[in-house]
Amino acid sequence: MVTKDEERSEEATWEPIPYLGRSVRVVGDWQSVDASQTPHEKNKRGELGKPLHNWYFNRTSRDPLGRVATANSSADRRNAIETHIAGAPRGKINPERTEVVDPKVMTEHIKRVAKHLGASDVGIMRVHPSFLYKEGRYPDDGRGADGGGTIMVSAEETARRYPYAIACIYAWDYDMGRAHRHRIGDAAYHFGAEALRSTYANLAGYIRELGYGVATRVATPMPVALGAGLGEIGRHGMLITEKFGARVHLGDPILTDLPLVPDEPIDIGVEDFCKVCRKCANTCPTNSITAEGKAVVNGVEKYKINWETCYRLRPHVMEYWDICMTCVAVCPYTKPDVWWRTVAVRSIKWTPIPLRGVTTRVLKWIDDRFWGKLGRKRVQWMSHDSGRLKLPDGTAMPEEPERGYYYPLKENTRRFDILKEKLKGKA
Amino acid sequence: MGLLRWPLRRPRDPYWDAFVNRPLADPANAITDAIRRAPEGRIFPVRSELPEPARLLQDLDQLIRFLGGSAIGVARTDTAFLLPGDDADASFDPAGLAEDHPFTVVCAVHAEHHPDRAKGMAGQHVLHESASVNFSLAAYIRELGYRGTVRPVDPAAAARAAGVEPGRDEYVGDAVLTDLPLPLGRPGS
Repeated sequence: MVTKDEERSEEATWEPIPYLGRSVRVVGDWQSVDASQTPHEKNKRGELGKPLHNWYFNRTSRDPLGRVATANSSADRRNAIETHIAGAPRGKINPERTEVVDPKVMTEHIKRVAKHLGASDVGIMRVHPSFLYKEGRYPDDGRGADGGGTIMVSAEETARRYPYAIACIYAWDYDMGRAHRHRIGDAAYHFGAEALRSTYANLAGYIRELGYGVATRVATPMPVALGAGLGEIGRHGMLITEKFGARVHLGDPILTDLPLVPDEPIDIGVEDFCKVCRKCANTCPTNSITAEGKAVVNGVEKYKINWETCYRLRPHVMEYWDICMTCVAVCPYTKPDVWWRTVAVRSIKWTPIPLRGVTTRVLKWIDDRFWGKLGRKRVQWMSHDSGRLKLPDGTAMPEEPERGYYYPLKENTRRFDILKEKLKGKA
Repeated sequence: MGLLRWPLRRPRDPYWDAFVNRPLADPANAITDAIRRAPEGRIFPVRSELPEPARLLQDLDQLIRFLGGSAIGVARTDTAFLLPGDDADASFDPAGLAEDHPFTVVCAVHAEHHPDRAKGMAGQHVLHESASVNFSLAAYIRELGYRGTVRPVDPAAAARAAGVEPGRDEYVGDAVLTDLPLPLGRPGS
């Protein structure tokens, strides 16, 4: 039985929230996220209205590959691999524990293993209870304490048991991602999510084979990714990585008691670039990304996203595609992993902070000139062609030889109205 | 060259050999079996409009490469290379399978370590890759409105019949049996 005084003294042992890089600033009291208040969970309970609830549970993709790519778009969930990965039985922890003499060597090994199992990049962070979901969780994926009992533990207790978080990312195909708001982009997104899910499942299994415990579905991905040095958070609320830009999946970090060495947050100039760029805010079809400055949300200073307008779009477009991702595709950091991209990112990274405004303006100008302000591109993959569009009523739209279709939305149709309203207000 | 390469060499990883070669203490720590034994979903009731068979095979080639495969080929299903599954019972009927599924699609995957020799997580991961590619391919065929089922085959015989010649760093596991109208051989052959 833990008394209130003991609980208080335990709480007092936690260090302040660690530094997460320049792109976010903890300025107030950061409360752990309540998992039951996240968009999908709210929608599952029907709190976002019938159309969204119906979209979540009753949609069937018109595209055969879309029905395989994700269980929620399937006609039969058994045809989506996600169903079987999520339901796979968890193995036991190997009683013959591998001794870790040097955590640094083990850290290098785990990163190499994660990449071998399919991760595009890996980072390690020391766990802080603020990064874990608020309510108590079962330590091992809801299946009981290390396969045993059914006692739920608090975020603090979880952080004590599993002091290290491993965050992996999976980068989806750059060319396919350019056909976002299309079945091609959907395939890149959904199959990328599945690949990362199986990477995490196998990595968790390997850590159990080494004789150490693992907890999943307990940590919020973004702060862990920032703290683990995988990237910085952009104006669009997505992680921007050094190699792949924003075209990455984050997935659900693994918590473990395997002794590891944490990484440090990185600075690739996202903070400076996003101040100037605003490309995502200008192109977001639902105007969900602010073009203004940062705001304090839950004690953290960052760009505030209107998640509800972003989320509510989905039932209106499901006849055509699943995933919008306009903000990710237009982000100037999102480019193929090639030398000229590395040069561009390093030119910001190596510029002293006070001078970065100049570098970012030059790079933004180059990006607009070569990739366009909207970054449209026709993509062909399998029998899909983003330059040809057939409407559900059978009407064939004229061919788009260069740019491809992003039907049925236009980029942020409200942005000029907002500008007018602002000008009126000033007058 | 040795001296030039020396500063770039990866420092020795003392745990790597166990990752590659040490058999798993609990096979459930790899999710391969869960995928291989996954129950198959239904065939979509409305058949999709298909492109020409040759184009369709090119589409499947693009799909399996995207999913992690390295080569694809099609053979006419032959009872000689069909094998009973792990949990085989009296219902194993090679002739019936061949009749319902006239084509066998063979996919190779990249294999840095061969699963027959490397019994550790790294070696067994190749089986996972192969099972995932086959699962998604069969599921896609079912969603097109055709029969698609993953079955154990004699990999060497099936690959030979399909014109797939797995290299030293490639692996062929199970195959997908289907009635989807496909041309025999490799794409473009």
